[in-house]
Amino acid sequence: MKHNLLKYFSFAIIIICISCLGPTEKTLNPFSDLKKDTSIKYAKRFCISRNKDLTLIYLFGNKENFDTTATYLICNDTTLIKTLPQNITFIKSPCKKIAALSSIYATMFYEMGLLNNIVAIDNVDYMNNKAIIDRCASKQIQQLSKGIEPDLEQTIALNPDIIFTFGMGDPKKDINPKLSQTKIPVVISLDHKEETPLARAEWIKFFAAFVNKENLADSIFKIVEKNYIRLKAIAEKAETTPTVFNDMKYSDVWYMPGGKSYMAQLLNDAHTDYLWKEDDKFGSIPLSFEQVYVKAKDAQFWINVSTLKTKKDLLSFDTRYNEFAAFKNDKVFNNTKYTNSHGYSTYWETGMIYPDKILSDLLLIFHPELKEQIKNELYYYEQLK
Amino acid sequence: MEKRECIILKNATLGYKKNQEDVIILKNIDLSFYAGDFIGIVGLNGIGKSTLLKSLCGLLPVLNGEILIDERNVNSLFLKDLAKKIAIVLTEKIGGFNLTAYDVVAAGQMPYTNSFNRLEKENLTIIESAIKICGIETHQYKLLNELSDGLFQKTIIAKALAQQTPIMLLDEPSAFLDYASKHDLFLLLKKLSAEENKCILVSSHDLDLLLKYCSKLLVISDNSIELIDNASAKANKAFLEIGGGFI
Amino acid sequence: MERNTNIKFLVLICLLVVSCILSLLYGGSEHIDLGELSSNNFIFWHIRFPKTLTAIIAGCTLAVAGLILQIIFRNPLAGPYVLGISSGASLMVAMSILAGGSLHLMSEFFIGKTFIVLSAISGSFLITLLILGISKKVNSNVVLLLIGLMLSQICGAIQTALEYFSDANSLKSFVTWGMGSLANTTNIDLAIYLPIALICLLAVLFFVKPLNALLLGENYSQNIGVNFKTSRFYLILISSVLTGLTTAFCGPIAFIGTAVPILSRMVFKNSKQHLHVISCLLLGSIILLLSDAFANSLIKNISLPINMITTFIGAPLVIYLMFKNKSW
Repeated sequence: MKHNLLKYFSFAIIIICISCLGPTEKTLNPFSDLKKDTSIKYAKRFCISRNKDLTLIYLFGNKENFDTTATYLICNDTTLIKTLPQNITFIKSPCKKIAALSSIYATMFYEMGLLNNIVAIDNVDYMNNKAIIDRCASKQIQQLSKGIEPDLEQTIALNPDIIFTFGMGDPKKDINPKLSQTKIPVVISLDHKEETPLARAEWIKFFAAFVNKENLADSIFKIVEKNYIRLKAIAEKAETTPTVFNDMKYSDVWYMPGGKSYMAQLLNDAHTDYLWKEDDKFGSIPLSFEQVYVKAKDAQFWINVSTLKTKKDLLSFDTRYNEFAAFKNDKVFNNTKYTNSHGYSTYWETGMIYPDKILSDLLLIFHPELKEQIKNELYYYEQLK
Repeated sequence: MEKRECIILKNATLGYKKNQEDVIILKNIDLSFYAGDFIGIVGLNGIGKSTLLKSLCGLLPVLNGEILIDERNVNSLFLKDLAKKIAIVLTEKIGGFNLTAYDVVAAGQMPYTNSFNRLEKENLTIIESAIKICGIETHQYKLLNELSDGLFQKTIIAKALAQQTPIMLLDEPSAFLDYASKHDLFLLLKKLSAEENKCILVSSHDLDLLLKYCSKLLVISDNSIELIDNASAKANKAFLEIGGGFI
Repeated sequence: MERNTNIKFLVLICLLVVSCILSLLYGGSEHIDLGELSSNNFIFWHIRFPKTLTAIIAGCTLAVAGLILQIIFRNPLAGPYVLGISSGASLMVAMSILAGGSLHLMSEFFIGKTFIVLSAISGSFLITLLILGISKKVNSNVVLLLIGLMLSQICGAIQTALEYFSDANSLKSFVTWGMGSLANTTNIDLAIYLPIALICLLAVLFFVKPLNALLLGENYSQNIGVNFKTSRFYLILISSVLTGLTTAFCGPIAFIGTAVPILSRMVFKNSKQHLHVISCLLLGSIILLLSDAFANSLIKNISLPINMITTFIGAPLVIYLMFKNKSW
């Protein structure tokens, strides 16, 4: 975090210098009095600083050293564009027509009360949100990614004020070069690169900064944070630490979440013994059936089995799944309590924004004795029948 | 020796089927061939010599009329039984898959082996003698692809011999042979027809050889099919036309 | 010559035993202690054993299917994978998963499996017939191979389209079937896989005579008493069942069907097809077993895709043969 800050400050200084070299008759420097948003505590992949006229958002896409890979300037003064260096994306505020090319981003804007500003999503098949589905049906929201890639022509024709898309942090690689030639600003979200549940949830502040909903986002996140910390504290009092493993084979490879992954941290916070917690990967570990079997055959719990809802479904892929103790003892759970007709769960849509709900589910699964204190029902998870 | 009719064509129309439609090559033929006949088939290119030979052994359909082999319709005979009656030598090339000359000759004994194609002692004797008769002993373990055209031809003839059939059909067997081998071949065929009473039909463009060795000539021309004696050949108008004035 | 052949077979059998042991003991990440091989050693009996047996069956079936196809097409480069037959089988499986998913067939184990096996077989049968029809119009072995490649691309494209239009539930099942793998068959699967494979392989032994005759082409095989069209039909049926069956359980496995008969002809320099059927059984098993052991032991704790290994064996052989035989 320390060197991260250093990078940010050095960058801010460069920008200030650049702006100082601009037209001299402009006595008031628009970049003066920039203040860093110190409320961002968990997220490491972005930071925000603002003054009364403009907001600067930095994206730290570099995998190792958290270098700034993209910068967004949000301002309603378009004269600033001319003075900006090329690597800063200018976004004229306020954004009224939003293309949110992921069910998560669309949900964020929905949660911030901006349903009517969403003009496009990627593909309605992934959505469970009834309001968004209805607006898609009535063509008020367009689907830009019905295919594998976003439809460029449709996107340009729609001409949204801003596009939010998934990426790895480098605008040169993440954004279609033809799309970057247009005037439509494309913002890359790195929420998936965050390593802790609260960090991911905090990304709602990132999205809020583009649409002047900072206060609302802050309050949404505060509740999540408070709940999460409360639940984590409850979990710590649990007397047991049940063993657990994740996922299932995909062809013959079993991708197990790494020991430092989002899921592993949730499981840790839920006071469980995740069997691959010693691993040092943030992504997933490719394993063979044999490797998983050796380690997990006696594990008490098994969660996140793809999109499957019944034990029979699980066996239809491989009958050897019934050799796991968790399977025999009916301790297989999946995040499929609510899915749409295409099999996509609400978990993938809202779970990232509300990790407290996931944690609450995990606590109910692993520590049913704490039910009194948790005071929730299962949000996402169900037991495989 | 008793003259036995072994091939009879009754008002037979021959040709092939293309996209369910008949393509007629030879029309309304009535002919009989006897055991011990050594018949040379002459005719210009594309007149239907190969069609006739292929039809006789069931490789092409009889479009109309019928062909009788030993008094039985060629199409009603089991293939395995037909294979014991007629052997054919075609002009097509085969090879690859490690096939040696020996393998091809051995295939001639296939109608006589069990369903696992196991070669017994008597099969092996017949194969060896066929190889010897055709003079390919020194080449028998060579791959077909490596044989010269002439040796390949002799191999196929040896296969036909190994099939031990009373009828042998040969489509231009002399095409690739050297002068001496041509005479050897025709001598052999003549001997087989005379000593083993085989009915042998051979098509060829070597008219002098046919005249010299065959007992009869089947002359196919645009408007007629005639079976004539060798002696009367030089008086036959159709034959002379095929000869092109060089005979 | 006979003695030489016997020695070669003896060597192959020894190799088979060795590769079985290698696959059983080293075909995975965990250490197998031979001293503790009790009947309840799950890893040995339910992970290694079915995988080894699957490698053997898949090797046998694909090699023999390849041998049959090479003779039917009289093309030494033919095989279920290169002619697009495996892809046809995969495509049919994908289609049946889509249809079966909506009919809720797939969750019933035996119905689901039978459904998948039958569709894979019909898929490979249809593509074989199609390529047979095409083969009559082309007289170059290499052109036929190119057409097979195109067919396989077309099947792949349709499959991609299906994947694209399918939902999350069936998508995973597609991909599961679409990749070649020996590790997904369980002992219960083998109860279906093994008997059908055995029946078909036994049936092939009764077709060694037609196989020998077919080498001489349509006319000569008819003339030596083998019904060309009937034999060809049954042989195509058998090879389709063999290919479809293995594709249903393992997905498309690359190049085994092409490479093994080629190797067999290199080892046994004769044209007796009963020898080649048996040597294809042995060589097919050995190569797939060794490929599997190799795929699992090359990088520690990571098992490489089996098709990567088999392609490295098969593709250079095909290229070599193309160069060697210039007469095409």
